Amino acid sequence: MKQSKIVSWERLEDIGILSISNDKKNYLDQPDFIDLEELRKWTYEKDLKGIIIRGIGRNFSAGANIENLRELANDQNVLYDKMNIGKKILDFIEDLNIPVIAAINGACFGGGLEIALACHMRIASENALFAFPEANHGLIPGLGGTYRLTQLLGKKSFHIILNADLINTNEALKIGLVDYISETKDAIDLAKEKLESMISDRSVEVIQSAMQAINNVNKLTKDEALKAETELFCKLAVNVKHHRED
Amino acid sequence: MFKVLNWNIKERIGYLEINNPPSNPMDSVFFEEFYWWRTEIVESAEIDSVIIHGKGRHFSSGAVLNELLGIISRSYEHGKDIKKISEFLNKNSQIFYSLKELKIPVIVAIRGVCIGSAFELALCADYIVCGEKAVLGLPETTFDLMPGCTGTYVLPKVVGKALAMELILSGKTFFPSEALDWKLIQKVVPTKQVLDYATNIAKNLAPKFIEDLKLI
Repeated sequence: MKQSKIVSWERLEDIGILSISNDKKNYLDQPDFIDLEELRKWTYEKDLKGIIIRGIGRNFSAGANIENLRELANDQNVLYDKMNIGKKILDFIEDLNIPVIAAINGACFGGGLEIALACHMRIASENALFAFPEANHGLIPGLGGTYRLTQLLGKKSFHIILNADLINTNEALKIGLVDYISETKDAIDLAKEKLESMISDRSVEVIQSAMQAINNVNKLTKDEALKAETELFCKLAVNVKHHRED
Repeated sequence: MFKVLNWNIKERIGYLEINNPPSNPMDSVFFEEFYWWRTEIVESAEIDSVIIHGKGRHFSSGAVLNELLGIISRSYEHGKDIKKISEFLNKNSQIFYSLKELKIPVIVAIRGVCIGSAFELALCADYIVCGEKAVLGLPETTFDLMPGCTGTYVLPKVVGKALAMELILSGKTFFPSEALDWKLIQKVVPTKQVLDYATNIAKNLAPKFIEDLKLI
């Protein structure tokens, strides 16, 4: 197992597990909760086909610790820089060309919810709770959450951000904040199962090509995305033809 | 006029039938004719809506893999450059997507199998009606490929990234009842009623159709 700040990394064959561990609530003391270069190294490991992000213990993450945040805010430049690094970490996760699933038990608040929103799929256990409590403290989500939540839910995001609504798993499924509810107590069971169904018979190359195309949807114009899709397809096709003739 | 397409107009509805039963494959002749139909015929026709369907039991089994792989690898062997063949094939994506630029509603009526490129074509329509026993999906990754004709772009727009990722990577086929839950299709009817239902929808949709609905 490898460690960077409050996050550890372990391999389960072709899956990588990122575990958030910081006391019982897995607070994100700092917006840069992991070293981006470490994370980059881990995700470049050979034969990696998918990633699960989870919290150790009963909670995913309760987000920022408000006391810590106040302290950081004493120097605005420091806070600004750290927020930007935090954003880069989440952008990096969102742009990964392998599926990333958030396995969510218990509290998933603030920065924790920001991490979950950067994942490609969210699977929660029955006891999960979601919220952006920032508005209660005169703040707003600061790591891209306002954008990601609105992309995902449309206007429903206004309520969640402005009222700091507390949302349970069933409600989260209904509005589309989570994709699946696990029948077992730990959401990681279903996360593993879902990931297996997507990656077990697929080559790294096929997974990366398809994911790159899917990730292009929000980054490129329609014409660029369609062009990139055809190119990725043709590259795979040349390989397939090659293998068949061998 | 066409070999693998039939084009008929009845009561201001244009019926485009993929006519190469039983599986109505989308070979290079299909793509040539579809291009011709889209660029030279449909917009000058006196119609208020279009219905696309397959002849016989199935809609279409999608692209013809061996032919397609042959075309791509011959081009690649010739110049060792993927760009040229990619530009050529991108025309197919553009022409599928351009169904959204038509000023009239496009309805796809699916009986039987509609997978791969055929399902990608359907996703570019405005309304999809399926028979109860239709089989849908994008199984390309199970052949070590990926959807290459608008699927990776349109599917996430319709059902979101998570489900699109799952359907594309798993490559599993699915039933109309599931697709209806995901709002991926609009209606499921008994197989025998698919074409009649599409005709009724065409008549109802055409007069109140709002062009803005098309663009996603």
